[in-house]
Amino acid sequence: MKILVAIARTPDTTAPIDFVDDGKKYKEEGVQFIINPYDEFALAKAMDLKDERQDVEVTVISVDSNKADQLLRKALAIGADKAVRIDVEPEDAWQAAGEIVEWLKKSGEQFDLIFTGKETINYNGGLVGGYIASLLGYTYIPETYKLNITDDGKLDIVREIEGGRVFLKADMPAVITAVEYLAEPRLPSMRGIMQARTKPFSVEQPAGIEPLTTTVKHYLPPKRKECKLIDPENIEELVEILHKEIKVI
Amino acid sequence: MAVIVYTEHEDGKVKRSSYELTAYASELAKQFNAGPVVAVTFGNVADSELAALGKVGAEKVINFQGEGTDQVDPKLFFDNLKTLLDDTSPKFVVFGANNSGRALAPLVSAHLKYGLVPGVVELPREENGKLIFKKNAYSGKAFADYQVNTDGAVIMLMRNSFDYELGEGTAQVEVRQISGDRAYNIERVEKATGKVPLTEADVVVSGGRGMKGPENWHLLEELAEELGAALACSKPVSDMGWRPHTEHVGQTGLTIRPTLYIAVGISGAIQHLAGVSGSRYIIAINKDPEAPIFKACDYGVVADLFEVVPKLTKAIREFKEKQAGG
Repeated sequence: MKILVAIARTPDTTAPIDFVDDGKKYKEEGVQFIINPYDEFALAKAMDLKDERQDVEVTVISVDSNKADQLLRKALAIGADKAVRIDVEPEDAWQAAGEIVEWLKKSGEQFDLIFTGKETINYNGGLVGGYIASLLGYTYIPETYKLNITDDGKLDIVREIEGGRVFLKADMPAVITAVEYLAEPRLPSMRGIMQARTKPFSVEQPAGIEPLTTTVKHYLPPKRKECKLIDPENIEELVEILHKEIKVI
Repeated sequence: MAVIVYTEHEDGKVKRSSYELTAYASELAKQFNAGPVVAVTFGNVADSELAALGKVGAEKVINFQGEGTDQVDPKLFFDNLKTLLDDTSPKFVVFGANNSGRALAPLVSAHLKYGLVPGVVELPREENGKLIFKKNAYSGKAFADYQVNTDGAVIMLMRNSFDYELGEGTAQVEVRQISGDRAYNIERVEKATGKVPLTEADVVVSGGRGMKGPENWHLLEELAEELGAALACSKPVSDMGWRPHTEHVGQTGLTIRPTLYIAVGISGAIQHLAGVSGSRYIIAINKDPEAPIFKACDYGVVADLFEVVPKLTKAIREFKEKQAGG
C-alpha cells in the first residue's frame, strides 16, 4: 500500500506574527518553522499504518522552496520512506494541489491514500485535500478523527463534525484530512536521523500551475481596548453590562 | 447569472448561520448586480421554513431530498450541486466556514475554476477590476486581503461576520430528488451533548485548567443554561479528557466568533486566543491577575472562579426573574 503525505511549512505556534514587504509577506526572520501541526497528525497516522502493516510505503511531499528541506528531512527521520519537494512557494491552495497532481501524473506514481492536515495554521484554508481529491477523482474524507483499515481493505473512519461524530466506511483510493488526535505525533529517533540521510529525496521542477487567488496584504487585528476589571464583590455590575452593553440577557 | 448559497437546517429549523449566509449572498447580488439569490439545502425540512429565507433576500430555495441527504457526502452532494452550477453560471457561491463548507467548497471551486477564499469576514471590494476579500489568517492572529484572480468567486464566510435584519419576502421552494452515488457509507452519527451547537452559539462559556476537574463542570453548565450558551474548553482540558475534543477551541481546535465569549479558569495562551479573538466581547474570570487573558478581554474578574461563577449565575437568574416579573 502506498501513502502520500502532503506537508506544509508553517511558523511555530508560538511565533510572533508580523509582516514585511507592505504586509504581503510574513516576517520569517528569526522564526522557527515547523511541519504544520495538522500535517504532523497526518504523518503520524501514516507511520502508525506502516507499523501495523508490512506493505506500507510512505512518501512525503511539499510544494515549497528549499526552506522546507529540513522539514522533509525530519519527516524522513520520523520514518517516511521518500521525500519529494516541488520547487515553488505556492501562492494559494489551488497552485499547491495542482502541482502535486501534476507531479503524480508525470511520475506515474499512484497512491492508495493521500493524507494531509485539515488546514494550515497560517492560511487556514483546508482546501488542498479537497482540490487533490477533486482533480484525481478520489474519495474525499475531510476532518478525520479516527481511521482503521479493515481486513477486507475498507477504510473504517470517524469524522468530527460540528455537533458530533460520523462513523463511516469508504473505499480507497481516498484523500483524508487529519484533525487533532488522529494519531500521536512522533519525534525522530537518532537512528531515524541517521537513516534519513540515505533515503531518496528528489526536487522537482514545478509544472507552472497558476494560482486562483493572490495574497495582497496581511494586517494585525485591532487591539482590544484595555480590560476593565469588575469587582467580584459587585458582580451585579457585570450583569448590567451583559444586559445593557452586550445585550445577551 | 446567480448567487448560490449553501444553507443548512437542524431539528426542522433553518440554522441562524444560514440566514447570515443568505443575507450576505443577497448583498453580494445587489452590489455586483449578480442576479437572483438561489439557496440550496439538502434533507427534509418544511417548505415554510425554507420560504422564510426570502426575508433575507433568497428568491428561490432548491431543496434536495431523498436517501443520503441528512449527512453531508461530498460526492453525492457535489454531483447534485454541479447540475445547478452548470444551469445557473453563478458569479458567487457562498458557503459557511464550517465542516460542510470545507467538504464541498473546494470541489465547487475546482469545478468552476473560481478562486476560493476561506474564512471571509466582510463583503468584498473591487480594485482594478479584481475582487478583494478580507479573510481570517494565522488562526485568528491576523487578517489577510485575498485577491481573486477569476471572474467569479467561491466564498466561505466566518460566522458572525455580517449583520443583517429580517425583511419581508417569501422564497419560492423547489423540491428535487437527489440522485447519484455516495462517496461513502455512513453507518451512524453520534450527536454531541449540549443543547446549543458551539459554532452556532451567540454566547459561549468556556473552561480551562483552572476548573480543576470534569466534576466541576456543572458550574459552567449552570451559567451556560442561564445565558443560553454553548460550552467550550481549552486544549489542556480536552487533552486530559475532561471534556470532548469537539468542545476544544483554539489554534488546533475550533475557531469561533460568538457575540460573547466567557473564559473561566483559562490563562489565555496565544494558541487559545487565536481561536476566540474574533469574539465581539470577551469576559475573563481568573484568579491570577497576571494571566495573559486579561490583556485580551473586555471585562475581567480577578477572583476564585469557584466562588464567583455561582454568584454570577445566581445574579443573572435573579436579574432575569426581575425582568420577567417587572
